[in-house]
Amino acid sequence: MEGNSKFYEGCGQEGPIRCIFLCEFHPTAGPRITCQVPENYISKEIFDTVSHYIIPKVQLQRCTLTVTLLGSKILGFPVRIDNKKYARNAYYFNLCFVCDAWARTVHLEPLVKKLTEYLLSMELETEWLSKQSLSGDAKALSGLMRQVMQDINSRRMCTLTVGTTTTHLTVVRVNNDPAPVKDHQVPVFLYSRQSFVADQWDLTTNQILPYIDGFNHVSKIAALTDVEISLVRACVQNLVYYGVVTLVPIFQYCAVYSATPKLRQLTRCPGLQRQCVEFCARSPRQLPKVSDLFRMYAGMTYGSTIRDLCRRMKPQDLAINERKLVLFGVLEGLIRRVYKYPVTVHNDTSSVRSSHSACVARTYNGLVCMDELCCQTGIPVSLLEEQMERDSDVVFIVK
Amino acid sequence: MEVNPLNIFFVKSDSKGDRLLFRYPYTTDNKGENKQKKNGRLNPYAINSTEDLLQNPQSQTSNICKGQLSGFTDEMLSTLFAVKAELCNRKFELKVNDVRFVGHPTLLPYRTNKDDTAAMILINIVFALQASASHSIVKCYYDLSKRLGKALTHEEKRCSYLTEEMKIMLAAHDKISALDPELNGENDEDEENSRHSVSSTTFSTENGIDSIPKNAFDLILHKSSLAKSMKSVFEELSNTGIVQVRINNWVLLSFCLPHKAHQIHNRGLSVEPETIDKCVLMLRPYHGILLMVDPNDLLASIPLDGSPALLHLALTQAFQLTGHLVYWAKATVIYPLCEGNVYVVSPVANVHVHSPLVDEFAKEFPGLCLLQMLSEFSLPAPLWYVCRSGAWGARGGGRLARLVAWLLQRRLLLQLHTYVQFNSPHWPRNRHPNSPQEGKEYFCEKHDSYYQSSNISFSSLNQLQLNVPEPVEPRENIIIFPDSESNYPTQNNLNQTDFSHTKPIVIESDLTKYDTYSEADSAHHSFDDGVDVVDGLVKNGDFNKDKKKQANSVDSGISNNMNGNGDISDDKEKMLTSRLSDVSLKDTHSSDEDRFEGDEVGKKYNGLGNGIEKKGVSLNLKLQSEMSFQSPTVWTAPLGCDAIDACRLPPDPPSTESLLDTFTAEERAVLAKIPAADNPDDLLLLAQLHKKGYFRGEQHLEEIMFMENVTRSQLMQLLDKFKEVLITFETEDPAVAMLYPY
Repeated sequence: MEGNSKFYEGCGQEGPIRCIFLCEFHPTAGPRITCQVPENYISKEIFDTVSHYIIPKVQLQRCTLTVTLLGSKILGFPVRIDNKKYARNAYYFNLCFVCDAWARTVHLEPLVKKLTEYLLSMELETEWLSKQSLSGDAKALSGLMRQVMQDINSRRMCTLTVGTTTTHLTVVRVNNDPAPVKDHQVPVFLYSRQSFVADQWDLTTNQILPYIDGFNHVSKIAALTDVEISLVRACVQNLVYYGVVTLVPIFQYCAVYSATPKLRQLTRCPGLQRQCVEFCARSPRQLPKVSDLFRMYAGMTYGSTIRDLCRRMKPQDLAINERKLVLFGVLEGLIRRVYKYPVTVHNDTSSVRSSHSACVARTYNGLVCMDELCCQTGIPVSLLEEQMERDSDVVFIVK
Repeated sequence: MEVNPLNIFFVKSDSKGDRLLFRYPYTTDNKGENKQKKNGRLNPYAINSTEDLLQNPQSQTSNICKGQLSGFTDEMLSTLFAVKAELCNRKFELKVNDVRFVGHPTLLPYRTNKDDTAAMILINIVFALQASASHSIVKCYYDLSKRLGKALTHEEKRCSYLTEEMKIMLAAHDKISALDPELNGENDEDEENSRHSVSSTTFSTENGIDSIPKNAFDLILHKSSLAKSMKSVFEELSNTGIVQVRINNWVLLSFCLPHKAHQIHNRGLSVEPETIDKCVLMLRPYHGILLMVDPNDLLASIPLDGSPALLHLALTQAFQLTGHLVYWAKATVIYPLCEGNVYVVSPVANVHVHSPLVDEFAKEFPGLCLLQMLSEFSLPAPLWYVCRSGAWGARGGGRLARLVAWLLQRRLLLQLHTYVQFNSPHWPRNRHPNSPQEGKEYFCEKHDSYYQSSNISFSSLNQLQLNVPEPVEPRENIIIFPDSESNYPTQNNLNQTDFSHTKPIVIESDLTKYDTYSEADSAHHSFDDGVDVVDGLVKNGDFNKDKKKQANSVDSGISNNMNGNGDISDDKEKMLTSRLSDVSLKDTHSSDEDRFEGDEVGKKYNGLGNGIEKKGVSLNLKLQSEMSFQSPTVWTAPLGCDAIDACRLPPDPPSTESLLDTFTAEERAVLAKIPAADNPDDLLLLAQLHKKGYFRGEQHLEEIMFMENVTRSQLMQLLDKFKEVLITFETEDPAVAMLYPY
């Protein structure tokens, strides 16, 4: 509705709350808006067309309702209080947030629900809502709604105090559950450590935090901090959910990376170049050249390990820290890791022969990559590969 | 799965009020479950929830129970879906807890029962989806609802179909409620939550067709063809994602839910329509189509009234057709199979030892093991290398081609291309106010600017076209560019310039020529493309041939490909492929025998392409073969060099100095140090290509070869000579990689 091509329906972005209104079922006038902030955002006509989604039938009470109509998205959580003291023996109300139709609103749903329950409890205790509605003077309510709208839009959190009661509202991003963390993965901060407020987090997280440096993998962190590995995994997974860290593959000189189509971005975007130069420098006094960095990334392809690349390019002479180079590339999506998967192939001929060696050779199902295997077994890659190459049933798939 | 619909509803609202006329699936076991719930709540040992203090019942958080919609009564739904007139004919979207309803309320005039006065009625066909379904899924369902509404409006206008069907449905509802008056009473007592309409409560489901069904929806399903259509819509959506329903045996409703349809061939692959749109924008003339289905099946699924215009496709139309085929999960976009192609295992390939693919593969290619094959592709090597290294020389190259096609269809392989970046001493060269955030976005949003400005042209293309000898009869060709399609090179050029965020390449001297060219007869176009067709095919023939070594049964091998499995079933698009093929052709060998083989293949391919159009135009095979014999003369090395020369020496030949203007002073200084720069030919080619923007990492080698008519070896030599300034990197083609599930 902004006329901005960036915001179209389905763009998946969050938008501001445009309006908050409270509507109720008036004993004589039917559904009507008691109070809205800002005034007249939802006109009477629009409200009338959608009112039966806002004050719905009994079965839809206490359901999160979102209706997208006429360019707006209205979120509500209709509530009914049964009590003889009300006209018609019941009081219906619904506090609604209005957003643009293109905006994502899932993250606001718990907020609407919590705010409604806060109002509900105040209504039950002091008839806070119905009194204001009857008197026609809803200053307290509109003040509260204005505060919610302003604070949530600007700070994504809000603390409300009415009389002696206080409630806290905060917007929590709704993400899918992150995949389980594996032992060989390396957590790395997505933004600077300084901006991380440590006291918001639990003790275990605080304990492992200093060891999250983009190079230590999960099981190493567990060993260094003397924390149970499953706890480390859980903490890291939690941090991943909140977007504090992300997981990258472990750095090894025998690892293979491949450039992605995104790499050409490095040739165009000065911001990315500056970041890359600063990040990958061996020392801040001597910055590497972008062209050298690009050459390094361009040299990463299937079949060529970091070791080969370093021998060829000599990053130390170019003032490039190759570990950071790889980390930056993975984080920015300029390169991706190419994993090696051992797979045991059962040939008819070999099954006879392998019957005696079956007890020694383990089988590989193709789901576990070399990194993970090394981490599990604690055997270096070279040794493990040697073992596997002796077994003719094992083939390697690189992807 | 969130792609599947939970339910389909048909609601009407007219002067007599609103009514849920039909739903599918209609629940039959609601009652039992409700009873159970009720019992649970009456358990004397149950602890009363503390929430009861707030007087309100526990809020419901889910309306999906065992994959079925629950907790909604028919009356309630009908009130919700019978929208006010102001909301008609636009998107209706309502989310209740974890269920999202989407529909397109349609207002249409209809004839009431007795008198013939027209009244307005609102119908709404609503789909219930899981709320987590992505927006693009919701959009597709909305579209389907809209189409159903349109079809019904049409049928109502034509023969009062809707009126008749609604009569049947209402009668069924009335009949059932008259049959079970006591049911209403029982429901009223059942105050808790089973206020189900009479119709959705069933006593027994064992009733056959002949006995009177107790459920109104059962009865409706037997009697009403509209209800049957809706049922099949629902079932086809849940099974394949492709809906082919004839409403009232008259209006054909074809619909595809690409998110679902692609899973027929690739489990776990979900392709969004938006991705396909982006992919189509990035398509280039050399891209090929790999059919996912048997060509005969594809033909069978095309409606008989398919447009005969498909016979003569402009390039943009061919792109759109490709997008269409991809959308319907009938095809995918690849770079045509060539010997020089480098494949690696796709990062998302399922390499589990017990994956169903392993068995499918073994069935398709007896004696081969999928995992072993994939491990052969684990090191990137050109296809010809794979073919020579393995036991392929003996087993036949046709088989390898078929195998690669199979693997590509299942997205197990990914092709790597080599891109070239000119290394300027001054980075960043393009001073664009790109903020870092914007810079990170590689795939730009669809810009309107794609369609802006058309004063761009490729000199080379024109020159190539001017190079071609006598035009042939255009009608005989499969792909013909009509005269109107004058912006053929322009469109593509726009694509790349836009993605590159760089200045469009304007070559004035060619502009005028281009204009005159576009007005010229279409024969140039058609012939040129005819050559392309044959050319591409010759290439393919060569490819197969080369693997075969013994020339005995190329023919049969290929016809296997085509008829038996349709694996390498190239489409018209692929026919368009590539002048570059001639290049690789030169790389391999060019004996007359090979030409002949290629020609054989050409016929077959053409036959197929022709078949796809379903037009039965008789192909002048003789002419085809003539063309294919011509093609080597046009495209063999000496003439190819002519084309290069033409590039270098356009009518108004630019001096070396003017070409070198494309380099900055620093760049020139660096170039001067390179020994190869002493050779004016090499330097000119470099400058030429650089000026045209090929060294920005945008175009892969094959594309440069295609666009500029240079050979691979020429390019490789150039890359080697100027390796100080030209950086190569290998990565996938974004247009193709887009359709991979990562």
